[in-house]
Amino acid sequence: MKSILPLTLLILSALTVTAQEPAANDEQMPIAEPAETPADSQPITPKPTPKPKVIPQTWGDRTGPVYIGHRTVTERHTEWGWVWPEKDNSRKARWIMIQEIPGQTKIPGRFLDNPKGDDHYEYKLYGEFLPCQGYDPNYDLYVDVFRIKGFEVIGKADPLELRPPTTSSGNKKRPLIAPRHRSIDYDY
Amino acid sequence: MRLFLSLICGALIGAAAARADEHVIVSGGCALTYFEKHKPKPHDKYWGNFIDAAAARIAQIQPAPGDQITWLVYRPAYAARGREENANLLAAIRLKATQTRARLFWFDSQPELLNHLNKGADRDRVKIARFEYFGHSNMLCLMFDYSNGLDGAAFASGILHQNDLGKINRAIFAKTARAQSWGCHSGESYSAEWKKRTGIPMVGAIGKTDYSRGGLPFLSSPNGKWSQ
Repeated sequence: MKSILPLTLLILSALTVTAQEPAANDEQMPIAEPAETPADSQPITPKPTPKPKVIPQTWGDRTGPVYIGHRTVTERHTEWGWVWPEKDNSRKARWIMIQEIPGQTKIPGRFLDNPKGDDHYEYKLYGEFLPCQGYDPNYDLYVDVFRIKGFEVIGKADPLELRPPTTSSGNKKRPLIAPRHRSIDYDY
Repeated sequence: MRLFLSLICGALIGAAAARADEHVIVSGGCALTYFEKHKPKPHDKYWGNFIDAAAARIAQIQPAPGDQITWLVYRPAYAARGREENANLLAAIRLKATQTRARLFWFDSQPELLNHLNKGADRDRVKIARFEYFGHSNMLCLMFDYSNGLDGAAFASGILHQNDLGKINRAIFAKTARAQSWGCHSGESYSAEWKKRTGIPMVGAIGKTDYSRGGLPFLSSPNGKWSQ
Protein backbone atom coordinates (compact mmCIF):
# COMPACT_ATOMS: atom_id res chain seq x y z
CA MET A 1 0.00 0.00 0.00
CA LYS A 2 2.83 2.37 1.00
CA SER A 3 4.60 1.70 -2.29
CA ILE A 4 1.48 2.62 -4.32
CA LEU A 5 0.84 5.99 -2.64
CA PRO A 6 3.85 7.94 -4.03
CA LEU A 7 3.09 6.59 -7.48
CA THR A 8 -0.53 7.71 -7.23
CA LEU A 9 0.50 11.19 -6.10
CA LEU A 10 2.92 11.43 -9.00
CA ILE A 11 0.22 10.52 -11.51
CA LEU A 12 -2.25 13.00 -9.98
CA SER A 13 0.27 15.87 -10.11
CA ALA A 14 1.05 15.07 -13.73
CA LEU A 15 -2.68 15.13 -14.58
CA THR A 16 -3.07 18.48 -12.82
CA VAL A 17 -0.30 20.03 -14.84
CA THR A 18 -1.75 18.60 -18.02
CA ALA A 19 -5.14 20.08 -17.22
CA GLN A 20 -3.69 23.54 -16.60
CA GLU A 21 -1.67 23.74 -19.78
CA PRO A 22 -4.48 24.64 -22.17
CA ALA A 23 -5.50 27.48 -19.85
CA ALA A 24 -2.02 28.95 -20.20
CA ASN A 25 -2.34 28.73 -23.94
CA ASP A 26 -5.75 30.45 -23.96
CA GLU A 27 -4.14 33.87 -23.76
CA GLN A 28 -2.35 33.28 -27.01
CA MET A 29 -5.54 32.32 -28.85
CA PRO A 30 -7.92 34.80 -30.40
CA ILE A 31 -11.00 35.33 -28.26
CA ALA A 32 -13.48 34.76 -31.04
CA GLU A 33 -12.14 33.23 -34.14
CA PRO A 34 -14.67 33.06 -36.97
CA ALA A 35 -15.64 29.52 -37.74
CA GLU A 36 -14.47 28.19 -41.02
CA THR A 37 -17.22 28.15 -43.61
CA PRO A 38 -17.54 24.81 -45.32
CA ALA A 39 -17.03 25.12 -49.04
CA ASP A 40 -20.39 23.57 -49.89
CA SER A 41 -22.54 25.54 -47.40
CA GLN A 42 -25.45 27.66 -48.61
CA PRO A 43 -25.84 31.31 -47.63
CA ILE A 44 -28.23 31.74 -44.72
CA THR A 45 -31.45 33.37 -45.78
CA PRO A 46 -33.89 34.81 -43.27
CA LYS A 47 -37.08 32.83 -42.77
CA PRO A 48 -39.96 34.35 -44.67
CA THR A 49 -42.40 36.19 -42.45
CA PRO A 50 -45.58 34.10 -42.20
CA LYS A 51 -48.46 35.63 -44.05
CA PRO A 52 -51.14 37.00 -41.74
CA LYS A 53 -53.98 34.54 -41.56
CA VAL A 54 -57.15 35.73 -43.18
CA ILE A 55 -60.68 34.46 -43.35
CA PRO A 56 -61.53 33.34 -46.88
CA GLN A 57 -64.28 35.30 -48.59
CA THR A 58 -66.34 32.16 -48.97
CA TRP A 59 -65.99 28.70 -47.48
CA GLY A 60 -67.86 25.41 -47.36
CA ASP A 61 -71.28 24.44 -48.57
CA ARG A 62 -73.28 27.57 -49.43
CA THR A 63 -76.57 26.05 -50.38
CA GLY A 64 -79.88 26.27 -48.61
CA PRO A 65 -81.38 28.92 -46.35
CA VAL A 66 -79.23 31.98 -45.66
CA TYR A 67 -78.79 33.55 -42.24
CA ILE A 68 -76.93 36.67 -41.29
CA GLY A 69 -74.47 36.13 -38.48
CA HIS A 70 -72.97 38.95 -36.41
CA ARG A 71 -69.98 37.73 -34.45
CA THR A 72 -70.12 39.08 -30.91
CA VAL A 73 -67.35 38.36 -28.46
CA THR A 74 -67.81 39.10 -24.78
CA GLU A 75 -65.46 38.45 -21.93
CA ARG A 76 -67.05 35.25 -20.70
CA HIS A 77 -69.85 34.10 -22.97
CA THR A 78 -69.09 30.94 -24.89
CA GLU A 79 -71.67 31.67 -27.59
CA TRP A 80 -70.71 32.72 -31.10
CA GLY A 81 -72.99 35.72 -31.55
CA TRP A 82 -76.28 36.81 -33.12
CA VAL A 83 -77.97 35.15 -36.07
CA TRP A 84 -81.14 36.04 -37.96
CA PRO A 85 -82.69 34.94 -41.27
CA GLU A 86 -81.48 36.97 -44.24
CA LYS A 87 -85.01 38.05 -45.06
CA ASP A 88 -85.46 39.56 -41.57
CA ASN A 89 -83.48 42.20 -39.73
CA SER A 90 -81.40 42.07 -36.59
CA ARG A 91 -84.46 42.63 -34.42
CA LYS A 92 -85.21 38.96 -35.06
CA ALA A 93 -81.71 37.92 -34.00
CA ARG A 94 -81.12 34.92 -31.79
CA TRP A 95 -78.14 34.59 -29.46
CA ILE A 96 -76.61 31.29 -30.46
CA MET A 97 -73.82 28.77 -30.27
CA ILE A 98 -72.39 27.25 -33.43
CA GLN A 99 -71.71 23.58 -33.75
CA GLU A 100 -68.52 22.79 -35.65
CA ILE A 101 -67.50 19.33 -36.69
CA PRO A 102 -63.70 19.20 -36.50
CA GLY A 103 -62.25 18.25 -39.83
CA GLN A 104 -65.47 19.07 -41.65
CA THR A 105 -66.99 22.39 -40.71
CA LYS A 106 -65.74 25.42 -38.84
CA ILE A 107 -66.60 28.93 -37.77
CA PRO A 108 -64.91 31.75 -39.74
CA GLY A 109 -62.67 32.72 -36.83
CA ARG A 110 -61.07 29.28 -36.91
CA PHE A 111 -59.02 30.56 -39.86
CA LEU A 112 -57.34 33.08 -37.58
CA ASP A 113 -54.80 32.42 -34.87
CA ASN A 114 -57.42 33.52 -32.38
CA PRO A 115 -60.93 32.22 -33.12
CA LYS A 116 -62.33 35.24 -31.29
CA GLY A 117 -60.45 37.64 -33.54
CA ASP A 118 -63.41 38.52 -35.75
CA ASP A 119 -65.52 40.48 -33.28
CA HIS A 120 -68.31 42.43 -35.02
CA TYR A 121 -67.75 40.86 -38.40
CA GLU A 122 -70.85 39.88 -40.27
CA TYR A 123 -71.29 36.83 -42.44
CA LYS A 124 -73.84 35.03 -44.49
CA LEU A 125 -74.15 31.72 -42.69
CA TYR A 126 -75.36 28.50 -44.24
CA GLY A 127 -76.63 25.64 -42.15
CA GLU A 128 -79.51 24.85 -39.86
CA PHE A 129 -80.69 25.19 -36.29
CA LEU A 130 -80.56 21.98 -34.28
CA PRO A 131 -83.58 20.81 -32.33
CA CYS A 132 -81.51 20.77 -29.14
CA GLN A 133 -79.95 23.50 -27.04
CA GLY A 134 -76.49 24.24 -25.77
CA TYR A 135 -75.51 25.12 -22.22
CA ASP A 136 -73.18 27.99 -21.37
CA PRO A 137 -71.65 27.05 -18.02
CA ASN A 138 -70.35 30.56 -17.39
CA TYR A 139 -73.85 32.01 -17.19
CA ASP A 140 -76.00 28.93 -16.55
CA LEU A 141 -77.60 29.74 -19.86
CA TYR A 142 -79.42 27.59 -22.42
CA VAL A 143 -79.25 28.82 -26.01
CA ASP A 144 -80.07 27.63 -29.52
CA VAL A 145 -77.43 25.82 -31.55
CA PHE A 146 -76.74 26.49 -35.23
CA ARG A 147 -74.96 23.79 -37.23
CA ILE A 148 -72.76 25.62 -39.72
CA LYS A 149 -71.89 24.17 -43.10
CA GLY A 150 -70.52 27.24 -44.92
CA PHE A 151 -70.21 31.02 -44.88
CA GLU A 152 -69.53 34.15 -46.89
CA VAL A 153 -67.85 37.21 -45.41
CA ILE A 154 -69.93 40.41 -45.51
CA GLY A 155 -67.45 42.57 -43.60
CA LYS A 156 -66.91 44.58 -40.45
CA ALA A 157 -70.09 46.02 -38.96
CA ASP A 158 -71.11 48.32 -36.17
CA PRO A 159 -71.93 46.61 -32.86
CA LEU A 160 -75.56 45.65 -32.55
CA GLU A 161 -77.72 47.25 -29.94
CA LEU A 162 -78.51 43.85 -28.55
CA ARG A 163 -77.40 42.55 -25.22
CA PRO A 164 -76.41 38.93 -24.79
CA PRO A 165 -78.50 37.21 -22.13
CA THR A 166 -76.89 36.36 -18.84
CA THR A 167 -79.58 34.07 -17.55
CA SER A 168 -82.12 31.78 -19.12
CA SER A 169 -84.95 33.09 -16.99
CA GLY A 170 -84.22 36.81 -16.67
CA ASN A 171 -85.78 39.65 -18.58
CA LYS A 172 -84.55 40.80 -21.97
CA LYS A 173 -82.87 44.01 -20.81
CA ARG A 174 -79.47 42.73 -19.88
CA PRO A 175 -76.05 44.35 -19.82
CA LEU A 176 -73.82 43.72 -22.79
CA ILE A 177 -71.13 42.30 -20.59
CA ALA A 178 -72.34 40.92 -17.33
CA PRO A 179 -70.63 42.06 -14.15
CA ARG A 180 -68.11 39.45 -13.09
CA HIS A 181 -70.03 38.49 -9.99
CA ARG A 182 -73.01 37.43 -12.08
CA SER A 183 -71.16 34.70 -13.87
CA ILE A 184 -70.03 31.39 -12.53
CA ASP A 185 -66.43 30.46 -11.95
CA TYR A 186 -65.47 28.88 -15.22
CA ASP A 187 -62.45 26.86 -14.23
CA TYR A 188 -64.02 23.47 -14.37
CA MET B 1 -90.84 -28.06 12.31
CA ARG B 2 -88.76 -28.82 9.25
CA LEU B 3 -91.10 -26.70 7.12
CA PHE B 4 -90.84 -23.86 9.61
CA LEU B 5 -87.04 -23.94 9.48
CA SER B 6 -87.13 -23.98 5.69
CA LEU B 7 -89.33 -20.93 5.69
CA ILE B 8 -87.02 -19.15 8.11
CA CYS B 9 -83.98 -20.03 5.97
CA GLY B 10 -85.78 -18.92 2.85
CA ALA B 11 -86.66 -15.62 4.43
CA LEU B 12 -83.06 -15.09 5.52
CA ILE B 13 -81.74 -15.91 2.07
CA GLY B 14 -84.29 -13.55 0.59
CA ALA B 15 -83.27 -10.82 2.97
CA ALA B 16 -79.63 -11.37 2.05
CA ALA B 17 -80.51 -11.13 -1.63
CA ALA B 18 -82.41 -7.89 -0.97
CA ARG B 19 -79.27 -6.40 0.51
CA ALA B 20 -77.36 -6.48 -2.79
CA ASP B 21 -76.19 -2.98 -3.53
CA GLU B 22 -74.83 -1.21 -6.57
CA HIS B 23 -71.92 1.21 -6.50
CA VAL B 24 -72.22 3.64 -9.39
CA ILE B 25 -69.14 5.44 -10.71
CA VAL B 26 -69.66 7.96 -13.52
CA SER B 27 -66.97 9.32 -15.82
CA GLY B 28 -67.83 12.43 -17.77
CA GLY B 29 -66.18 13.21 -21.07
CA CYS B 30 -63.01 15.06 -21.96
CA ALA B 31 -62.75 18.20 -24.07
CA LEU B 32 -61.43 18.30 -27.63
CA THR B 33 -57.97 19.75 -28.18
CA TYR B 34 -59.39 21.41 -31.29
CA PHE B 35 -61.48 23.67 -29.06
CA GLU B 36 -59.08 24.05 -26.18
CA LYS B 37 -55.74 24.69 -27.86
CA HIS B 38 -56.28 28.45 -28.25
CA LYS B 39 -57.29 29.02 -24.65
CA PRO B 40 -55.05 30.45 -21.96
CA LYS B 41 -55.76 27.46 -19.70
CA PRO B 42 -56.64 24.53 -21.94
CA HIS B 43 -58.57 21.68 -20.37
CA ASP B 44 -57.84 17.99 -20.73
CA LYS B 45 -54.44 17.92 -22.37
CA TYR B 46 -54.61 14.24 -21.45
CA TRP B 47 -57.83 12.52 -22.50
CA GLY B 48 -57.92 10.00 -19.69
CA ASN B 49 -58.12 12.15 -16.56
CA PHE B 50 -61.66 11.10 -15.67
CA ILE B 51 -61.02 7.50 -16.66
CA ASP B 52 -57.88 6.97 -14.65
CA ALA B 53 -59.36 8.71 -11.62
CA ALA B 54 -62.48 6.56 -11.75
CA ALA B 55 -60.41 3.39 -12.11
CA ALA B 56 -58.30 4.42 -9.13
CA ARG B 57 -61.45 4.98 -7.09
CA ILE B 58 -62.94 1.66 -8.12
CA ALA B 59 -59.78 -0.04 -6.90
CA GLN B 60 -60.32 1.58 -3.48
CA ILE B 61 -63.93 0.51 -3.08
CA GLN B 62 -64.50 -2.54 -0.93
CA PRO B 63 -67.94 -3.79 -1.88
CA ALA B 64 -69.80 -6.20 0.36
CA PRO B 65 -70.22 -9.74 -0.99
CA GLY B 66 -72.89 -9.71 -3.67
CA ASP B 67 -72.56 -5.98 -4.35
CA GLN B 68 -71.72 -4.83 -7.83
CA ILE B 69 -69.73 -1.88 -9.11
CA THR B 70 -71.05 -0.19 -12.22
CA TRP B 71 -68.89 2.20 -14.24
CA LEU B 72 -70.82 4.52 -16.53
CA VAL B 73 -68.78 6.40 -19.13
CA TYR B 74 -70.00 9.18 -21.42
CA ARG B 75 -69.23 7.64 -24.79
CA PRO B 76 -69.63 10.51 -27.32
CA ALA B 77 -66.79 12.52 -25.83
CA TYR B 78 -64.27 9.68 -26.00
CA ALA B 79 -65.39 8.68 -29.47
CA ALA B 80 -64.83 12.25 -30.67
CA ARG B 81 -61.50 12.66 -28.89
CA GLY B 82 -60.45 9.32 -30.32
CA ARG B 83 -61.19 10.56 -33.82
CA GLU B 84 -59.12 13.63 -33.06
CA GLU B 85 -56.17 11.61 -31.77
CA ASN B 86 -56.60 8.86 -34.35
CA ALA B 87 -56.84 6.35 -31.52
CA ASN B 88 -59.52 3.94 -30.37
CA LEU B 89 -60.15 5.37 -26.94
CA LEU B 90 -63.30 3.34 -26.46
CA ALA B 91 -61.22 0.17 -26.74
CA ALA B 92 -58.71 1.63 -24.29
CA ILE B 93 -61.50 2.30 -21.80
CA ARG B 94 -62.93 -1.18 -22.29
CA LEU B 95 -59.49 -2.61 -21.57
CA LYS B 96 -59.19 -0.46 -18.47
CA ALA B 97 -62.55 -1.70 -17.28
CA THR B 98 -61.46 -5.32 -17.59
CA GLN B 99 -58.65 -4.51 -15.17
CA THR B 100 -61.18 -3.41 -12.55
CA ARG B 101 -64.01 -5.22 -10.85
CA ALA B 102 -66.55 -2.91 -12.45
CA ARG B 103 -69.10 -3.60 -15.15
CA LEU B 104 -68.72 -0.97 -17.87
CA PHE B 105 -71.76 0.74 -19.34
CA TRP B 106 -71.71 3.51 -21.92
CA PHE B 107 -74.20 6.33 -21.87
CA ASP B 108 -74.77 8.89 -24.61
CA SER B 109 -77.05 11.38 -22.87
CA GLN B 110 -78.41 12.48 -19.54
CA PRO B 111 -81.68 10.54 -20.01
CA GLU B 112 -79.68 7.35 -20.53
CA LEU B 113 -77.78 7.96 -17.31
CA LEU B 114 -80.97 8.64 -15.40
CA ASN B 115 -82.56 5.57 -16.94
CA HIS B 116 -79.75 3.44 -15.57
CA LEU B 117 -80.02 4.98 -12.13
CA ASN B 118 -83.78 4.62 -11.96
CA LYS B 119 -84.28 1.39 -13.86
CA GLY B 120 -80.89 -0.20 -14.46
CA ALA B 121 -81.77 -2.99 -12.04
CA ASP B 122 -84.68 -4.15 -9.92
CA ARG B 123 -84.46 -1.20 -7.57
CA ASP B 124 -86.65 -2.92 -4.99
CA ARG B 125 -83.83 -5.40 -4.59
CA VAL B 126 -80.68 -3.65 -5.80
CA LYS B 127 -80.26 -0.25 -4.21
CA ILE B 128 -77.61 2.27 -5.08
CA ALA B 129 -75.19 2.48 -2.18
CA ARG B 130 -72.74 4.86 -3.80
CA PHE B 131 -72.75 7.48 -6.54
CA GLU B 132 -69.50 9.15 -7.49
CA TYR B 133 -68.79 11.46 -10.40
CA PHE B 134 -65.54 12.29 -12.17
CA GLY B 135 -65.68 15.01 -14.79
CA HIS B 136 -66.28 18.64 -15.57
CA SER B 137 -68.75 20.55 -13.45
CA ASN B 138 -69.67 23.96 -12.21
CA MET B 139 -71.57 24.77 -9.06
CA LEU B 140 -74.92 24.04 -10.73
CA CYS B 141 -74.38 21.01 -12.91
CA LEU B 142 -72.32 18.01 -13.85
CA MET B 143 -71.13 18.34 -17.45
CA PHE B 144 -70.43 15.07 -19.21
CA ASP B 145 -70.09 16.94 -22.47
CA TYR B 146 -67.82 19.92 -21.94
CA SER B 147 -66.03 21.58 -24.88
CA ASN B 148 -66.44 18.43 -26.89
CA GLY B 149 -69.65 18.87 -28.86
CA LEU B 150 -69.54 22.67 -28.53
CA ASP B 151 -66.59 24.99 -27.94
CA GLY B 152 -66.43 25.89 -24.26
CA ALA B 153 -69.97 24.69 -23.70
CA ALA B 154 -72.10 21.56 -23.56
CA PHE B 155 -75.11 20.17 -25.27
CA ALA B 156 -78.01 20.38 -22.87
CA SER B 157 -78.47 16.63 -23.18
CA GLY B 158 -74.91 16.20 -21.93
CA ILE B 159 -75.33 17.74 -18.50
CA LEU B 160 -77.11 16.86 -15.28
CA HIS B 161 -78.25 20.19 -13.93
CA GLN B 162 -79.34 20.52 -10.35
CA ASN B 163 -82.75 21.52 -11.65
CA ASP B 164 -83.00 18.04 -13.19
CA LEU B 165 -82.27 16.13 -10.01
CA GLY B 166 -85.99 15.70 -9.40
CA LYS B 167 -85.89 13.14 -12.23
CA ILE B 168 -84.00 10.79 -9.95
CA ASN B 169 -86.25 8.49 -7.97
CA ARG B 170 -85.38 8.90 -4.30
CA ALA B 171 -86.30 5.27 -3.61
CA ILE B 172 -83.38 3.89 -5.61
CA PHE B 173 -80.84 4.68 -2.93
CA ALA B 174 -79.87 2.58 0.04
CA LYS B 175 -80.51 4.28 3.37
CA THR B 176 -76.80 4.57 4.05
CA ALA B 177 -75.91 5.61 0.51
CA ARG B 178 -73.24 8.20 -0.08
CA ALA B 179 -72.42 10.39 -3.04
CA GLN B 180 -69.48 12.48 -4.12
CA SER B 181 -68.73 14.73 -7.02
CA TRP B 182 -65.01 14.96 -7.72
CA GLY B 183 -65.61 17.82 -10.16
CA CYS B 184 -65.05 21.52 -9.51
CA HIS B 185 -67.39 23.66 -7.43
CA SER B 186 -70.05 21.00 -6.73
CA GLY B 187 -69.93 21.74 -3.02
CA GLU B 188 -71.01 25.33 -3.64
CA SER B 189 -74.59 24.47 -4.59
CA TYR B 190 -75.00 21.09 -6.27
CA SER B 191 -74.34 19.02 -3.16
CA ALA B 192 -77.06 20.75 -1.19
CA GLU B 193 -79.56 20.40 -4.02
CA TRP B 194 -78.64 16.73 -4.43
CA LYS B 195 -79.32 16.13 -0.74
CA LYS B 196 -82.60 18.00 -0.98
CA ARG B 197 -83.80 16.06 -4.05
CA THR B 198 -82.49 12.58 -3.27
CA GLY B 199 -82.19 12.58 0.50
CA ILE B 200 -78.60 11.40 0.14
CA PRO B 201 -75.65 13.57 1.19
CA MET B 202 -73.16 14.45 -1.51
CA VAL B 203 -69.59 15.52 -0.89
CA GLY B 204 -68.50 18.22 -3.30
CA ALA B 205 -65.62 20.62 -3.72
CA ILE B 206 -65.59 24.22 -2.68
CA GLY B 207 -63.30 25.56 -5.38
CA LYS B 208 -61.54 23.65 -8.09
CA THR B 209 -60.26 20.13 -8.34
CA ASP B 210 -57.23 19.10 -10.36
CA TYR B 211 -56.69 15.77 -12.13
CA SER B 212 -53.29 16.57 -13.58
CA ARG B 213 -51.27 14.42 -11.17
CA GLY B 214 -53.10 11.26 -12.16
CA GLY B 215 -55.21 9.12 -9.86
CA LEU B 216 -57.78 10.83 -7.68
CA PRO B 217 -58.11 14.59 -8.12
CA PHE B 218 -57.03 17.00 -5.44
CA LEU B 219 -58.36 20.35 -4.29
CA SER B 220 -56.45 23.08 -6.08
CA SER B 221 -58.03 26.34 -4.94
CA PRO B 222 -56.24 28.23 -2.17
CA ASN B 223 -59.21 27.96 0.17
CA GLY B 224 -60.63 24.79 -1.33
CA LYS B 225 -62.28 22.17 0.81
CA TRP B 226 -64.71 19.29 0.58
CA SER B 227 -68.23 20.08 1.68
CA GLN B 228 -71.65 18.44 1.80
